[in-house]
Amino acid sequence: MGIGAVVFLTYYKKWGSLWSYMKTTHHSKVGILYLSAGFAFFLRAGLDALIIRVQLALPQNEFWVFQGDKYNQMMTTHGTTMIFFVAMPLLIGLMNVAVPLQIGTRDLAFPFLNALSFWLFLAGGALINISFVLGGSPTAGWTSYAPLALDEFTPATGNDYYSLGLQVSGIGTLLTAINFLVTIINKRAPGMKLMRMPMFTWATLVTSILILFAFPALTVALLLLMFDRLYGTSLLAADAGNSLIWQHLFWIFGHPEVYILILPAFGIFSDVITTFAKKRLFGYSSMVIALVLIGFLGFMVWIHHMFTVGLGPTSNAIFAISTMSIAVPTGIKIFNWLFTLRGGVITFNTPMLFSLGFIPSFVIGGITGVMLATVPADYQYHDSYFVVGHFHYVIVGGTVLGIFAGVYYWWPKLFGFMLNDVLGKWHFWTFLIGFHLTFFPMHIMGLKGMPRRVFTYLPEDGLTGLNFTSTIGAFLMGGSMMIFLWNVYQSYRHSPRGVGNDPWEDGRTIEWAIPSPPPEYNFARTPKVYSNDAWWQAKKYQNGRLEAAEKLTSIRMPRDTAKPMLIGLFMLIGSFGVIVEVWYFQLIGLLGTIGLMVLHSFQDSSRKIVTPKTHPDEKIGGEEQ
Amino acid sequence: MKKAINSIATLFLLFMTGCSPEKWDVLDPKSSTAETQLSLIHLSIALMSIVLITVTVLFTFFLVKYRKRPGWQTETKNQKPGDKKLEITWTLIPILILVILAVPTVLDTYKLDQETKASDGALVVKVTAHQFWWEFEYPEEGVTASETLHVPVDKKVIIELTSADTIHSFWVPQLGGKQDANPGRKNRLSFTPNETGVYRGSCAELCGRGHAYMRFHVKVETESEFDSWIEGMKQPEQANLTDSEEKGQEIFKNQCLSCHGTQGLDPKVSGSPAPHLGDFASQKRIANVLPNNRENLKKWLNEPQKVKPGAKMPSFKKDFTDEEKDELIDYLMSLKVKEGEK
Repeated sequence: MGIGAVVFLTYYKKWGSLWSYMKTTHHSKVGILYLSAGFAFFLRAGLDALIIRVQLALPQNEFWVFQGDKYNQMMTTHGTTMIFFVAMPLLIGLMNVAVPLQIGTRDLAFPFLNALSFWLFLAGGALINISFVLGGSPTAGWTSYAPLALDEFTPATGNDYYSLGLQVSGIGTLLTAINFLVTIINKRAPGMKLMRMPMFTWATLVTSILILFAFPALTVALLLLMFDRLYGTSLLAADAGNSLIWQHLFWIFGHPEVYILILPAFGIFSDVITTFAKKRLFGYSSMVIALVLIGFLGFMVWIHHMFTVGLGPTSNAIFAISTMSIAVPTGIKIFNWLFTLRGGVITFNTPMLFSLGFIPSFVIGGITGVMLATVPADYQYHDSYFVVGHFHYVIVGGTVLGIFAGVYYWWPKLFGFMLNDVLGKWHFWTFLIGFHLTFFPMHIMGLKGMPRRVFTYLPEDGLTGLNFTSTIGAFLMGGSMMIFLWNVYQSYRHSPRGVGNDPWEDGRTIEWAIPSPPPEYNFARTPKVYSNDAWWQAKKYQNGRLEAAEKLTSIRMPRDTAKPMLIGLFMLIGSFGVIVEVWYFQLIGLLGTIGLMVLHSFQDSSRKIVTPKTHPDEKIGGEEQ
Repeated sequence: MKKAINSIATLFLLFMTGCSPEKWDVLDPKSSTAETQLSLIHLSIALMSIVLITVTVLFTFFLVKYRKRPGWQTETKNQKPGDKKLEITWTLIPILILVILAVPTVLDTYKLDQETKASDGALVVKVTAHQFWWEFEYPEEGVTASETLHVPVDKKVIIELTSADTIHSFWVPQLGGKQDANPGRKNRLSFTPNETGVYRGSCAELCGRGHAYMRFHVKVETESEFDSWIEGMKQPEQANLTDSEEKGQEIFKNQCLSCHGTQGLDPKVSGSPAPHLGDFASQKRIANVLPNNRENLKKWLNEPQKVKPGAKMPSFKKDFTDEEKDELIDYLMSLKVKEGEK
């Protein structure tokens, strides 16, 4: 399936340009790679979800082979893939596409590292997907709790794929975070103060900080798991070690992780809603503060995943309060969005619909979140389908809707043609209805006593109707994804090319000041920024022209190189060697990776000269040329 | 849009506050602990409904009022950067709502914890979770059982939880939430059931292949019923077995006793690899999967792994003749605690 993802890429790209994509270091091309790979994994994880729903449609159902272990494989890959190889890469893809344009820079701070991040992510994703045919997928759930995940109880190699796959792609994610941090802090256009940045850029900045602090915890946890499984240590074993270490480390990473998933979506919604309500964001500074607060508090709440572990009432009470407090900044954001709509002129097109559909859906997810924070009640909800309902409401109703909003919103900027709006609306409504139909009944299932991660239930449980409804909704969502793919294909074939700089006509931030798709160097001359929503201000007060901060000169751009891809390949080979315990694979991977790094450090030629077209971009300037 | 959101909101409220005819419902508590939890659930739903309704009303109102329509402005002069008063309002009101919710949350957290620690006059049951079955030990009475946890009504029960292998989680929705069973650790959970009946319980933490079928029942009975059940569990094997049951008992002694205990043959099965069969014939289902009857029992003996994924019991398909299987089944079906025999 990992190979399938590559095949998928090759099928939709021409063979000629495939090579250029494989050795690219350019941010928007890397973004496209992230988006394509993310969607390929999306289809696979969605298929897992449908298999899960078919197996659960009826009590004691025996669908094909998906009971017991096989069901656990599907459930685990669905969770792992959706979180690590769908939601994160799609968001990072959108960041790659939009952030450099939004802050007026030519590329990320470290283009080579950016490409390397992608190939490491793909190597990790490939490992998780290869496992399905080579020794079975991981079976211990995406949280992979010890001691179940240790070889004592799960001797199959599946969980080795889990630890190595997430480790490799986690390195990629960490590098991306560093990359964006440096880019946003150092490479903003002149006058683009932090408090003038678009919200999506702000969200990216906060998310990068979260990744920087959260992922090391996962790295350590995965190392412990790997040592226990492969080298016979007993760090996480119940008797000789301590199996709670895994839970703590995992959730110290895992809770920030879910905010890593939602904050960029918040940023996208802010940008989309302001654009299509034709209004300035209400309470910009409080929105920024709320983002930072949510990010900060995200590290203070991990015990709420462990209320039933028996850590004592004091820790439970403290973490209940800290968890509830997150509702305050989130509430501020919701009301700020609502009041951004107030007094605006609201256009209902596809990206706006996805953003508006998010508000009530996410509020339901948010209030069930607060309900989960009440400890004694959580003794009932915990590990039941109520939780499954809750986190799908926030992740699908937040992150996935945000991703779709972002994809529809920036698509014309990226490719120079619009996605069909009628099909887009069909996609939105089927998705939204399917989503509520799938996940709303889950809250009730949980209250009726259905535990999480069960492959079946009994006829007398009284859960049949709810589960069947849920399955119908899941297929509606599946159909909705088909509409989306059809939309991409149709628009690719028939949409008019050559949309202008500002295809939505209401763009507010500076990415809409340059041609779509942008030239390789983005801005022929770096613009000067004087306010928030600089492009909207320019349209209103400066005849639609941004002021340039520099004269037209030649531009240095990063050079294409295949090294990142090769490093990813060597990491894949090495990791595979660790999993199947073949020493020469490990050696090849190690030597190849280190060799390429050394080679790269001696090569100074990672930049080349590009001369922009002789005529300057007419949207940026001021004085006549 | 308006319709959709309204109907979603109404549905939500209907579903969340409505009662249900089912008998294993969080919303239908049968013990003090579960009632405490439900009161918090109700409180949080009420408070959160305020938030949901407020957002829904504002959202619908703004969308309808400010939608772009023919003959309507295409630009808006309203480019307000924000409004301090409003922003303070929607910071303070949620804080207030959360305080209203947080105070009882903290108090109840401590209250439930205190209850598990005060063991005066309470019935203590040591519960050990195994992949994929539950072992219930009554240390005071010297009785061990599986599958069904018997407790007297109106008496505080303290569950002392531990696990023999992976992490499990003990959950009886109607009697008081859940606690994890961690290997090598002890956790406690307490409740005072206030109504007789049979309540369903299950394992809530993913513990491997058979997780879905790791279920049990809690039978809340009157004091006298409970006492006579304990007595019955202590009694040695009943002597009046029929011929075929006798033969079945022999087979059981030779083949099954190494893992399964019954009262009389091996009353102490703590730390044993398999469920205690002392009250086998009263179980609703075999291994919590198949309805308990002779045919299904034969199926189970033949292919345990097929019936229950992850079951550790070997297949006895080839070990016994059909006749022997029938005898064994006869014996197993005779294993029933005769309640009420004082």
